[in-house]
Amino acid sequence: MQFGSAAVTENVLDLTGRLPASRRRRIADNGVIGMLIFVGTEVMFFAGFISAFTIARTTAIGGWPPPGQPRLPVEATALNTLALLASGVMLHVAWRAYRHAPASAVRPFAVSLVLGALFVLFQGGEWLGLIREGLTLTVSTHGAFFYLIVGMHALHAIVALGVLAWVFQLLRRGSLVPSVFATAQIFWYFVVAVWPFLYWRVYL
Amino acid sequence: MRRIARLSAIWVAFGICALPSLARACPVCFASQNDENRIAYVVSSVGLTLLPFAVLGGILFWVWRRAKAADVPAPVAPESVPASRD
Repeated sequence: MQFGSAAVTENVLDLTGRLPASRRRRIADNGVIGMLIFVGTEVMFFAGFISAFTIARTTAIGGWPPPGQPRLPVEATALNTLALLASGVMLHVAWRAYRHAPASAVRPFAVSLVLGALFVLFQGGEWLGLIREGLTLTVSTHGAFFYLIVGMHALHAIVALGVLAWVFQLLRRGSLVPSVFATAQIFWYFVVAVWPFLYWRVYL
Repeated sequence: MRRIARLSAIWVAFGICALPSLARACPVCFASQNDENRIAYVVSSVGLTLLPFAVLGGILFWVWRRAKAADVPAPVAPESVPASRD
């Protein structure tokens, strides 16, 4: 008897228990799956903060926000929220343009980056105003939760903007691969999607 | 002796579980100050319990859909080896 025909070896598992490379299928890029898992952990991270904040609000003496504390700029932050949402939309437009013709994605990507940067800068300006009015991290539970929750989101936004800036450089050079773009997209979409929920719970 | 110790530990654990009021640790029953606070505890507990399942389930569902979309063709049947004449 003879063994070793190609048809037989194609279905035989290798020593690690996997099908030969020619028979394995690639479901998704490793970076995309890794980023999805990371985003999942960050969702739990923010859920813990929001849960603690929700419970603390219900035990506040004198209602919420506590009397004597500076009021948060609800209307101005609503506009800032729109800017962040527009940034997410522009990134999606850039992705669709990239799939069609990579060079056409440069402009919408740049707009998305600028809108995201404006969001972070405006938040920073807002913080300076609130600190001048007397709302700091240590003055009250209100201040502590505000700076903790919004600060953590700002930190995520800054890191995501750094990643997007790097991806933008790759795009301009013409060396951007779809998997890298998709991975960066997921992170920015998370930053954009979680903010309206944080705004609703913290500001309103 | 080890088996007796293990059985004793199990019975003690069951006994403790049967008397939860001794611990008075449930925030919903004993620490909440008003109805709003109690509702916040319940909603937070339910939300934080279900959220990991939703997140992991969502990721797994997405992977499953991608796997379905990337179905490989049926494996090729091995060629029949003609019997050698001895």
